[in-house]
Amino acid sequence: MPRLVTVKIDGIEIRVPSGTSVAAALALAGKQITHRSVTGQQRGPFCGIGVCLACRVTINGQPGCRSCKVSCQEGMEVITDG
Amino acid sequence: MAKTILDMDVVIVGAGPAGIAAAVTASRFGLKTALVEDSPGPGGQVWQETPSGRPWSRRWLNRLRACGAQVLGGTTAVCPVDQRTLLVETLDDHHVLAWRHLILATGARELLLPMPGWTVPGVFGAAGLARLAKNGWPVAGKKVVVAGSGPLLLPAALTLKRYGARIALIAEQAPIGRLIGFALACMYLAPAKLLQAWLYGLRLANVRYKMGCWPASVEGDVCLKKVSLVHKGLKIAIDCDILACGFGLVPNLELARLLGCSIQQGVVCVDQWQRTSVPGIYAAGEQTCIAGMEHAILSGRIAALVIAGQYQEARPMLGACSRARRFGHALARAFALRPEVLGLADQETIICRCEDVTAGQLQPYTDWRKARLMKRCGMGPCQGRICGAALSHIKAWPYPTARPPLLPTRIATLIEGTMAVQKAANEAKGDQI
Amino acid sequence: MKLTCDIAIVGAGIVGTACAYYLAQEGLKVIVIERGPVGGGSTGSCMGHIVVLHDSVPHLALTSFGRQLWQQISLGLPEGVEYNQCGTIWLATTQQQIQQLRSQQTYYNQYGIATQLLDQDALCDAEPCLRKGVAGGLYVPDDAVIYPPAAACYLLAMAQSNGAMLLQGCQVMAIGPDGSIRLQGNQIIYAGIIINAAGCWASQLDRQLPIIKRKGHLAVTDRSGAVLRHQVVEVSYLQSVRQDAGASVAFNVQPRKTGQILIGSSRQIGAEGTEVEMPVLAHMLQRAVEWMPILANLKVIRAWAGHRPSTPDHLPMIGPCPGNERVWLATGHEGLGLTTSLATAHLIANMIAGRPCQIDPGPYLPGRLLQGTYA
Repeated sequence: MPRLVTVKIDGIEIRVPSGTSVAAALALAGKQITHRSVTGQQRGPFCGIGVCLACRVTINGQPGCRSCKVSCQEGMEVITDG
Repeated sequence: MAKTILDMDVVIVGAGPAGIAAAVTASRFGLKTALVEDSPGPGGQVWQETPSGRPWSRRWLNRLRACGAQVLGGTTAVCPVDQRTLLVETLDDHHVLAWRHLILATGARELLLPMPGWTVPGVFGAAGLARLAKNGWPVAGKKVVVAGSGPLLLPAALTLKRYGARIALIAEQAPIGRLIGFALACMYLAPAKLLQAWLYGLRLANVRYKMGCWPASVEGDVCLKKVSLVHKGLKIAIDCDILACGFGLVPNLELARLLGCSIQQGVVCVDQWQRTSVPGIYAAGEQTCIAGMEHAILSGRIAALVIAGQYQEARPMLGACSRARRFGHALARAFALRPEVLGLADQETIICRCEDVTAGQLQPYTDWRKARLMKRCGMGPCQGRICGAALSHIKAWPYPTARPPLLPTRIATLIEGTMAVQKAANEAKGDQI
Repeated sequence: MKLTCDIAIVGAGIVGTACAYYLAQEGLKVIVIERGPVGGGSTGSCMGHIVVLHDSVPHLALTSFGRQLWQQISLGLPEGVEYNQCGTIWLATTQQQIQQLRSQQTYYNQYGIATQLLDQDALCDAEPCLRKGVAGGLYVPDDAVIYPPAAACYLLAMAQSNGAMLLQGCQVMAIGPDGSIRLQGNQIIYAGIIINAAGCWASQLDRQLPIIKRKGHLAVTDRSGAVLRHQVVEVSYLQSVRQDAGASVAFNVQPRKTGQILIGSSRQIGAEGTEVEMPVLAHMLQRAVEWMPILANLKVIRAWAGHRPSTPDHLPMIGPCPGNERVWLATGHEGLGLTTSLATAHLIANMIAGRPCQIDPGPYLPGRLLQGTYA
């Protein structure tokens, strides 16, 4: 059984297995939408490998982080703009 | 503030099979080696260690751990600062790596082609979704259509199935005739691959697999509802939750381009020793030829051996490496894209997902520069990685010039990294006097 | 086929297209010749500010006239041009600079240019993300920013709707004193008047033109919300503009309609290429962070460099070449091509038509920098 870590997503705490990507944690928290496009469309992760930058969120106050490329760490705070 | 610079004999960018093989090999000869990887851990798209799954190849990863090379995970290459330094960034920090030899092993990404509805949440790259699933993305119980082209569709489908997805269909655009020819060629070039494909086949035995079949459009609003595909001239509609769709691989050339390495026919030009056109810079793996894992390992090892001056050991690998490249060429021919999949977008389909530029808006333009200037196509945060690859296939537009930073980078990183290099250069000057 | 026209304009940057815009309105037969994309040279790599600048009386006259003309057409501009009358705030840190802002204000008042002095608190309200303790600012509400290549495209399209013709992808090899233009492939165009609006490349057509390239770097951030409201410039920007040697940087940021922040500026002489030079870029960004610490944490998505066409006295060359009434110049606008493009074109249209100009064209006539006849 993998260790669990707690992350806060848009203010709500969720526990996920250590090593889970932030993108996955967002989906587990029911947030498949990470941002609104420039014309206001809802968008979520797309390429899955850190290239398209559609999954950008704010992590620990750092804006524009690719959530698919970051593993959840204990106490991490994630903010989406979806 | 300005931090010290990590002085390395060899810096390798990309910790997939090519980068890992190069790091392990270089370290064997006492070369001080750093391996830079964008993902949290090493492994690349094929060997990544996952929280719930097992690593595909524990052997190389164990060797990497044991070899003494410094592995910088979660670290993104930003740009060169001067001719012998590379600025890299992490989630909340940055470093400067000074190198005597640089090996580019940045691998490849999926070709993602525009079609009506492809911006709806629920559309993913095929290998991309498999990667997301390996890192905990919940696909269990989801009904997934896997579509596109290339040998990666099978392992992607298999991974998704292993994580509990229901695979409704695997659709390969290449016609059956060409794939049979390819299988015959494989018997000579890469019999192991055939065996692998057969094993995939066994494990995906109860999954529908159609050749000469491709996705045409996606319906859905907030989330995906239905995928329409074309098969034997007929439209098939499948209700599903997810479309996992990739049309083969394109090399990640951005760093090579920024470093001024010569690029021809869509790959980094290297000689038989994996040397690029820029002295001191080598390239290995998929960005020199999309030819799979064996080629990646061999070319990574050759690059490192050449750096270590071990031509004797490298020479016997050249034959296998070139055979692997021939396999890559056969692969490219077998899975060549049919014109239909390059023309799926209609006037309203968004081509540049960052700036929401539609095909209709791009119609008046004949080249990148105009499309960029007038419509901002490719000027968003991904810097044309998605639409650039798509347009190079759809309109045969060559890629636009690369500019730093390679990916969106904190302003503080650009300032402090550059200042660190300048400070070191000034100190070196002072020492000389 | 022999092509003839009343006016041939070399260069479809913002200045060339502005000339086409007014001259085609006059009913003249205009041909615009461009080797690359419309607005693809300095126009495509510049910041896109429409600002009144008070470096000298002729500067003030030309920039305020130019700004007025932009304002007049602003309502008709398509959305893609991104005209945004965000105003400029000039920043002062020392008492001496505050004095400088006061005299700037008096000066502007004489020309009827609206301004407002901001004290420390007012500045903080206007731009909350500026570092604390900036002594004061001068707000110039009618200044604007624009997306330059789209503006050039619009002006050209309007000219085309009045009959102007664009020859794109055509390299001009030579221009003759008889009004002939030789294109690559030896096609000749005969024009009543040739307007050399080739910006930095104008001197390739006429070696005697004293135009040098001043390289500038820019960086643009990811879309980052409401961090910035106005174009903000430090007062010492003017020193940077005047500096004639080495590299200099000054704090100059713009809010774009896209929510991005455009960060400038740098000036270098003698740098031919347009590659990004990290030391200059880093220096420029550091200056920006000193003024707006919040920028340090924002992400740059793209950095680039371009050239400004600069003259020895930092004023453009507008009007006929001395000794040859058939070859005119509209170049050398340095960093103010956007602001002064319409004013430049307006002057040229009036001079060609023999009408009085709204401002004195004297200070911009090429004769001041060129001797002898056009060869």
